[in-house]
Amino acid sequence: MANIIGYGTHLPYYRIKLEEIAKAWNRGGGRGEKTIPAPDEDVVTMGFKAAQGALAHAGVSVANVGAVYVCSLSSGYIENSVAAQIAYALGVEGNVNCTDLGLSARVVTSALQACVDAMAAKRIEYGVVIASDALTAKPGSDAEMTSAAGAAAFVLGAKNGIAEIFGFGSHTTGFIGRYSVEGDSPMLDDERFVMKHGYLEHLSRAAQALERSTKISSKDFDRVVLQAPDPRWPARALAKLGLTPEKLVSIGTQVGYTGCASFFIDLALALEQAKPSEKILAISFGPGGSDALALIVRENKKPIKPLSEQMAPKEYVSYTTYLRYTRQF
Amino acid sequence: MILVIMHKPPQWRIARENARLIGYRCKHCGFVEFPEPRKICKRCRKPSEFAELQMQPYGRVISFVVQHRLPEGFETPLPLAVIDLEGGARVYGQMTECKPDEMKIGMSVEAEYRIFYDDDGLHIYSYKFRPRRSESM
Ligand SMILES: [Zn+2]
Repeated sequence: MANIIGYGTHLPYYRIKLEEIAKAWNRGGGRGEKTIPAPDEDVVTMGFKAAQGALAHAGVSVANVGAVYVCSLSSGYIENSVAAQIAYALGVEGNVNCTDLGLSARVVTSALQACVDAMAAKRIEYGVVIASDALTAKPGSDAEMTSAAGAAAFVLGAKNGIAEIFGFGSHTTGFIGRYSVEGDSPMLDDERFVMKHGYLEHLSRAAQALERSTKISSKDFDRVVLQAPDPRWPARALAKLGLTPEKLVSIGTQVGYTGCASFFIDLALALEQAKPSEKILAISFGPGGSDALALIVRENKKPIKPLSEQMAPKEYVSYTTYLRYTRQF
Repeated sequence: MILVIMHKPPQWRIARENARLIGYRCKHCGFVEFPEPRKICKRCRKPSEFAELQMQPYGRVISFVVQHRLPEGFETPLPLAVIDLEGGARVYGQMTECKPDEMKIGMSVEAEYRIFYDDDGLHIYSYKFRPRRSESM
């Protein structure tokens, strides 16, 4: 189909321990930590950084990039193109297809499909697919424990590369689950209901669709990436998909939920860890459903800024600094 | 580094240089102008003949000051530094993600594309510098 020939990620330098948030609101829970964007970071700066790393990793000249896709739930704009701003800063301009996607974290796989299709149609030689989010939630809300920031990008091309995307499967319904209204925190009324009838149902149906199109059983994949609005959910979905816990690749409990970027960051981590000939199953999830993606790894090529190295340099901030940095005043 | 508003005409003219770290090197003396070439070179005073230069994002701090009082919108105390970029360009810029006591002459920094300010809700970007905290970072 198409190959991932380069990838890049960006994690903010600042972190807050979840116990710090739990303590501020006198509530339980709070294991793990999450990223906080620096006061001068947003989806443009983070997406740019990730894409710049991905292009350098791929060794592709910006003159040969024919399409840029940006997935985000948190640009803050109703009208403005984040994709065009990132593309321009990268040096990608002129006869270039430029697309902004949002409203569901699941659009990451829609963007990958669109890019693969554009290459199959021989309309473009290389495409860059970017996911970037700086999610916020009202102080004291449930979503405050997960909303985080980060970005990741993939460069796709026809030439041989790091991994080949060889299958897609989808399960689309009208199920919503978690949603957000402009200016308000994300809403997720009944977590158990959304988990059972939303998350597990859509993930497994998308995986079944992928099994039918690739003739490969989910059990035969070596690594799995699962997108979820709560970093604790993927571990609970494994049994339903017939997968063993060691196959799950996720840094959600150390980073938090980064919206669209969560899927790409975990997929990038899987590529950092995977050995040639391993197969990766990656399933997105957001309002409307799930898409499953099958990849086969061809090469383990160290990225410009590996996630393993980005996890170490960090600074923990207090709850009040966190509120100030994320403009919650 | 200079302030630019990229959606307004004079600033749109230098948007490309500003977003992509493109400078202009004087063909007579090697001085690098950023983001816009002048009619006369600031250093050698000869009429300009500039060649476009893709500046490198890595450099070293030559000197710095720490600003404690700045208008609203700035994180203070804020280190401001003179930086020599690899490949030869001397720039003056804001530091980011950096406490004053981390600043040292000679420290390695990386140029980072960041929000410079907010213009009626529109984020305006330019380059700042942050300490390099590991080999690849
Ligand atoms: Zn000169």
